[in-house]
Parts: sequence; structure tokens; C-alpha cells
Amino acid sequence: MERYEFVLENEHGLHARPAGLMVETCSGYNSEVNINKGAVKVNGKSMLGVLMLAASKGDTLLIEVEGEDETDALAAIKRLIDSQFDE
Amino acid sequence: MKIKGITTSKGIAFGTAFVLVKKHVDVSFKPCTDIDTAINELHIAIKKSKDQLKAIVKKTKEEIGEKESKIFNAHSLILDDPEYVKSIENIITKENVCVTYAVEQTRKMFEAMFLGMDNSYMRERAADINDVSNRLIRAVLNIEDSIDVPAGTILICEDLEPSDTAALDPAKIAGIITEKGGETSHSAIIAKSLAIPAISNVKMDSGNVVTGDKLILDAIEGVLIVNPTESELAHYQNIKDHFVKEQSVYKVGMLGRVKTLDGHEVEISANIASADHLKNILEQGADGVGLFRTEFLYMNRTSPPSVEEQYNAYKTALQAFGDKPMVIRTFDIGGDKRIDYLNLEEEMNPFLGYRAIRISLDRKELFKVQIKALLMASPYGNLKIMFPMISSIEELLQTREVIDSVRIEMEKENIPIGDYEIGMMVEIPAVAVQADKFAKYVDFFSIGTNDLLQYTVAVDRMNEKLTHLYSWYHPGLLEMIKMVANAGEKAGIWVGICGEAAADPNLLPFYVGIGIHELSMSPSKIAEIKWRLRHFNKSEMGEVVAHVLSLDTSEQVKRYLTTLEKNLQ
Repeated sequence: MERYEFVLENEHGLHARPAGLMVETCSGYNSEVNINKGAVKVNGKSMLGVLMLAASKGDTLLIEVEGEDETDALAAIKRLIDSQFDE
Repeated sequence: MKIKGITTSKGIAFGTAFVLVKKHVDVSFKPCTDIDTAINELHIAIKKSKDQLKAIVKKTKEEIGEKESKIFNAHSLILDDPEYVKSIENIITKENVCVTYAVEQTRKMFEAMFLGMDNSYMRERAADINDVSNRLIRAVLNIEDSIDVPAGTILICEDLEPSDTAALDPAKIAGIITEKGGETSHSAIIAKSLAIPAISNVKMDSGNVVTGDKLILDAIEGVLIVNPTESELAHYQNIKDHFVKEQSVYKVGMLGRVKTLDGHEVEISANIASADHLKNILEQGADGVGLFRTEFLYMNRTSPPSVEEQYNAYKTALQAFGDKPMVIRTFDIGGDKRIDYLNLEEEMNPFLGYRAIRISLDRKELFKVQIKALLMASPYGNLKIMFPMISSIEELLQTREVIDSVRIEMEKENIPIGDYEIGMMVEIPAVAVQADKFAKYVDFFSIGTNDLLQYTVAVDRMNEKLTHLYSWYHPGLLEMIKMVANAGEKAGIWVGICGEAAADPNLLPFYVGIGIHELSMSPSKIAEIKWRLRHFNKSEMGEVVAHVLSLDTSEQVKRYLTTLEKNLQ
């Protein structure tokens, strides 16, 4: 399993647009993706799950990816995070 | 009739009301005949909705923008969401019900979860769930979703869902009025990007606006005018022209300090009444705050604000403006501003009565609370404390005594105090005449033209029969303003103007000519005044001042300055 922890830097957090990009990215891979904020864990392929996280600017998130293409999946997720979700 | 709202997309619109009533769809509990058929129906409707959204994404991308179109990508993802679809399927299977009921129950569940969040941005996302669920329900029931309205429509509805906004033809929509929906709602974002004026939080009592009513939507002040008069139409046409021009021309270079062509700098500041929306005020180009009206902190409540509460408000404001000057005026209560908990007596002439500094010096405990809060906030910015309605040197001395006694108490408690200036309003004719004497006791003057004019010409500005006598082009008033400016210059203190006349572009050459240092006004006027200031020479304004003061009547002054102003452009 691949893990990656990061601090969210988007002004409005993981709101509709960035959440959508996140789900789109996760859904492109067969691996299971979970996003954790504190004790809350949601399915990275679920739009509503990601929105429910209510992740705001400054929150620390932990991404867990597990499956045959986990390395590629995490690389793609990292690229998305580094691009500040195209904002 | 006027109805108040909150501006979500700025502008002025003229148009005809179109009250959008959403068709109520049947989402009541109905048992389904066959579960497999129902599940199949659901997936066909999901597919149909996703196709619609794909088309909306394309249309939005072309007509509005890529970023806005992604909202609908997100909606499409909700339809793909395993949790969302599973929830609908579970309800159908377990309760043996029709698709529309199951979608409605799922919608309600997720809506409640989003509305329960403590972040307003996320709460507004409940609208996304509602929008996409309603789309799905309409797809199940085969209801088409197009909104066809005539050109020049001002749309009125409870809440405009993002996909409604996208389904509208922007060329036909002059304005949008919603009863719900905040500043960060998708509808607001899209209205903004299409530059369609919009206000929300408008309270629509049944029937106060009906389809076909003529409307003016003032999405600058956040007001809707129903069936306007000719003079209101003319008034708003002016404001609209001004706004359109401001959007393009005035915005250039409005953020920094500005100088006349020959390098004379004038500070253009904002009048404010609370510590809210400060970022917005800075974005409109304010060089500082020339008048923070603190009496508003005392209004609409049952007891005066505490030291803590006031300190927080002043500190927030000072910090937001950093080293930019901030003139905070101690409360100007009384006159037309009544406050129940202070039990002020009814007076025959409230404007000549118990108000402002007169109350402060009579109720020193109340006043000391404010002074303490101001001094506590003083380390956090560039504070200038100003006193209203000073009419005598004695009052000024007594005010200074109050400050000294508060300082001594604070020093005993080891509370840090920063630097600050002390100044006064010049709004009483006797003070203007004696300005050279007052100048010895203060760091600055700010001329309050509204009161100075009403006291000088003895006209109650609320009296509609006398409006022709209430003109700030009165040569007597202008002479007095010049006396104050001269007294300031001689004493080496700065002089500002903070009444409504400060924002009059016609008088700008006069103000510059007499050496006014600061003009404070409604933030929306700043860009224009700054733009105008950059287009003339101070050195040429001496002549203008001399000419203005040689004229006999307000009308002559007005005519001369209006013509001059046109020639300067």
C-alpha cells in the first residue's frame, strides 16, 4: 500500500471543483483509494464522500492507495495536488 | 416600492419581472411493481442526466468558461458516485418503492449532511445535491428542463440552481433575484462571470412582485425597485452609465496613492461603519479610512458594546489596513440616531441638542469604555481618534482629560498603548471661523460637510421643502472650508473632508486648490475621484479657488465648476 500525507493549500479547501478532479483522478485507476482527515476515512472515488470530508485550507490529509496500479495512481494524485487543483 | 437584498453580482439592470415557478414534481411514496424494472429505470435516467450534463458542460465551457463548466463535471460525478447510487438502489430494494421517491429520500439525507457542516462553503454545496437529484427526478419523469423567457427579463425565483443558470440564455437575462443563495453559490459565481447583475436574500412576500412588473435592479447597493417612477429611471440610468465607465476607465491605477499631474498627493479614503468587508474596501482603492462611524456598534442592541467587543472591532479594522491611516470617530449618538437603552429624552431640536461629544462628556463612564478600547487597539495600526461635534475649546480640553485619565488607569494595569493622533470634526460654523485656535490642540481636522452646511445655512437637510436651499456650492460654505484649510496649513496639521460633498467630482479642483490633504467617501466613489485627480495640475487650481470665491450664488458656483470639470476631462 502507498501512503502520502500533505497539507491542503487551496483557498476554499476540497470544494466541488477540486473534489471532482480528485474523484476523477482516483476513478481512473483500479486501486482502492481512501482519503483520511483525522479519524474520518472516505472513498476517494466517491464525490459525496470527498465533499463530506469538508477538508479546508490548512488541513492535513492522508491518502492511502492499494492495488495493482497503486504507484501510478499515487503519482497522478500527487501531480494533481502539486498543481493546486488547477486553481 | 423598494425591497432590500444582498448583492451577489454587481451592476444595474432595467427590465421586466419574470417570476419563475418551479413545476412541482411528484416524489411521493409509491410502491413499485417490479424492483428490477425500477433499478433499470434508475440507470436509464442516470445515463440521460449524464448526457444532459455533458451538453451543459460543453455549452458552459463555450459561453462562460472552463472553470465554471467544471461545476457540472462535479454534478456528473455525483451521478457516478458509488455511495449515492447505492443509497438509491438500497431504498428501492428495501422499501419496494418507485425511483423518484428513492432519489428524493437520498437527496434529503445528503442535503441534511451538508447543511449540518460548520463551513458555509460546504453548506452551500447542498445546492449541488439538490440540483443533480432534481435533474435525475426530472429525467425519470421525462420532464424537459429549459427556461424560455423574453429578452430583457429580470428573473425572480426562490433559488436558482446552477443548471438553471446554465440553461438560461444570458442574452435575454438582464438580472437575477433570488430569495436564497449566498455570495459563494454557483448561481452567484456564474452570474458574476456573465456580468449579469444579481442580488439574493430578497424577501418576497406573496404578490409584491408579479411577472410583467417593471423593475430596476440596483445590484450595487442591493436594492430592487418595483414599478419605478420616471425620476428613479433617470437616476439609475446615470448610476448605470457611471458604473459601466468605472468598470473600465476608473479601475486603471486605482489601487495606489495618486497625485495630480504636478505631483501633489491627496489621500482618498473610505467611510466605514463596521469592521466588516474591509478586504473589499481595500480592493476598491481606499488609501485608508477617513471616517469609521462607531455609533453603528451601539445600534440595534439592548446594551452598549463592552470594551472587549469594541477593542476587537477596532483591532480587526486597524490590522486589515496595516500602516494605512484609520480615523475612528467616537460615537455620534443623538440627532437622528436614537438608541433606546440610553434613554435619551425627546427633544424639540435634536440636531441642536444632546448628541455626540456632548453625551460623551456628560456620561463619562460610557465614553471611557470606548476610549479604553481605542487605546488598547492603538498598537495594531495607524490609529487616529476623532471627536464629533466639538463646539468649544473647553470641550476639547475635557476630552483630552478623559483620555489622560484612561491612559493612567491603563498604565497602572500595564496594558500596552501604541502611537495615535487626536483630531476633531469641523462641523459647527463657530469652529470653522475659529479654526486657527482649535488647530493648536489637535493633530488634524476633518470637515463634516453635511452638518457644517445645515448649521451654516440653517436648513434641516431632511426637510423636503427646503432642498433648494441645501446646496454645498453655497459660497458661504466654501469660504468656511477654505478658512479651515488655511488654519490647518498655518498650524502644520492635516485637513480632510468626510461629508457627502467630499465625493463630488465638481468640487475636487477646489479642494486641491485650497490644499485639502484627504477626502473620505463611500468606497464605490474612490476609483472615479482618484482617476480625476490624476488629470489636472494643482498649480492651476489657485485661480479656480479665487474665481469660485468671487461668485455670488450657489447656482453660479455650480455652473462654473460643472463646466470646468467637463473641460478638465
